[in-house]
Amino acid sequence: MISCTEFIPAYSELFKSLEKLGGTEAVEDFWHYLSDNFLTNLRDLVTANGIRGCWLYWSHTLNEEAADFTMELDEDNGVFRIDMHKCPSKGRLLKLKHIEPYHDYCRHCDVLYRRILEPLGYEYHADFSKCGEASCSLLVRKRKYRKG
Amino acid sequence: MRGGYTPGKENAMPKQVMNRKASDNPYLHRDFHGALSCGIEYLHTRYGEEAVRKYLREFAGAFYAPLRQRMKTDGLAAIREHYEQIFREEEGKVQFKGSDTSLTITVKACPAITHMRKRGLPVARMYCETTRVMNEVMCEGSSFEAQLCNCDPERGTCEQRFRRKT
Repeated sequence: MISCTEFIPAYSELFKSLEKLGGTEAVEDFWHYLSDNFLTNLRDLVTANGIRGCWLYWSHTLNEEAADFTMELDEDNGVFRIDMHKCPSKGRLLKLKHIEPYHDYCRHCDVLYRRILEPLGYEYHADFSKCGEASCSLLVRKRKYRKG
Repeated sequence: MRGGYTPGKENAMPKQVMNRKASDNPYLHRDFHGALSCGIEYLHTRYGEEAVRKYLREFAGAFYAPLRQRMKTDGLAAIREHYEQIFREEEGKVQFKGSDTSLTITVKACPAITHMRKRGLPVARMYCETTRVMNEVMCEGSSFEAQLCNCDPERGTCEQRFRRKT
């Protein structure tokens, strides 16, 4: 059994294997598959609870992942935000001396969550400019529709 | 004005903020088992059985390189310590029985399969290959060999055997 504490390097190596098999497209196809088939809990929570679903989903996952973060929910204005001070996944990969992280590792977060949240009527903005330091931010905002 | 009345804001919901440090929680996100299972199933369906085994061999070869190195000096004690730590962290039901020349790990409830079944997450058809391939790769270059026996993915039970090569 590969422990859940060893999953992140296994995940990063899977991206490398897929890229060798079919290039970037193969990696993105897998991210789409994972989003559609595995992240159903995020989709269900947001469908049932609106933007609070984001709070419920990430409250669970980020605490179990022992992340260093600040998370904000402003339901009146339809805004949810995460400031990831230290991402546990990227942080672990950067610490491993004998494994090189997949070169585009952090982009999976963009693809996986955007694919769920945009069709549900939310804008999804992610800033990965500091992902080399295991730090990033994401903003989810209820899309405003113009009348008429 | 703190506590003041704001017209039209009678039902306003307060902003919620959560701050956490890494040290506030243990690192144990069991749903990752489901994500790995999903990855294995995808690779199997899309690229076939050999692609799954190749991926597992490459991952295990790279990630367990330090453990493989320890196997050369410490023998089966290295494997035993590795699995004792994993099953302790993940609260697996296991029994270890061994000597300098052999080690049998009887898994009575695999934590990964137990969690996936409990959460209703699909278990990949080749999920147990993770154990078989990983153990084989760990033994490569050492005087030991690994065998996976009595594997039952439905119940999450198996026997992982290691022994000195004859």
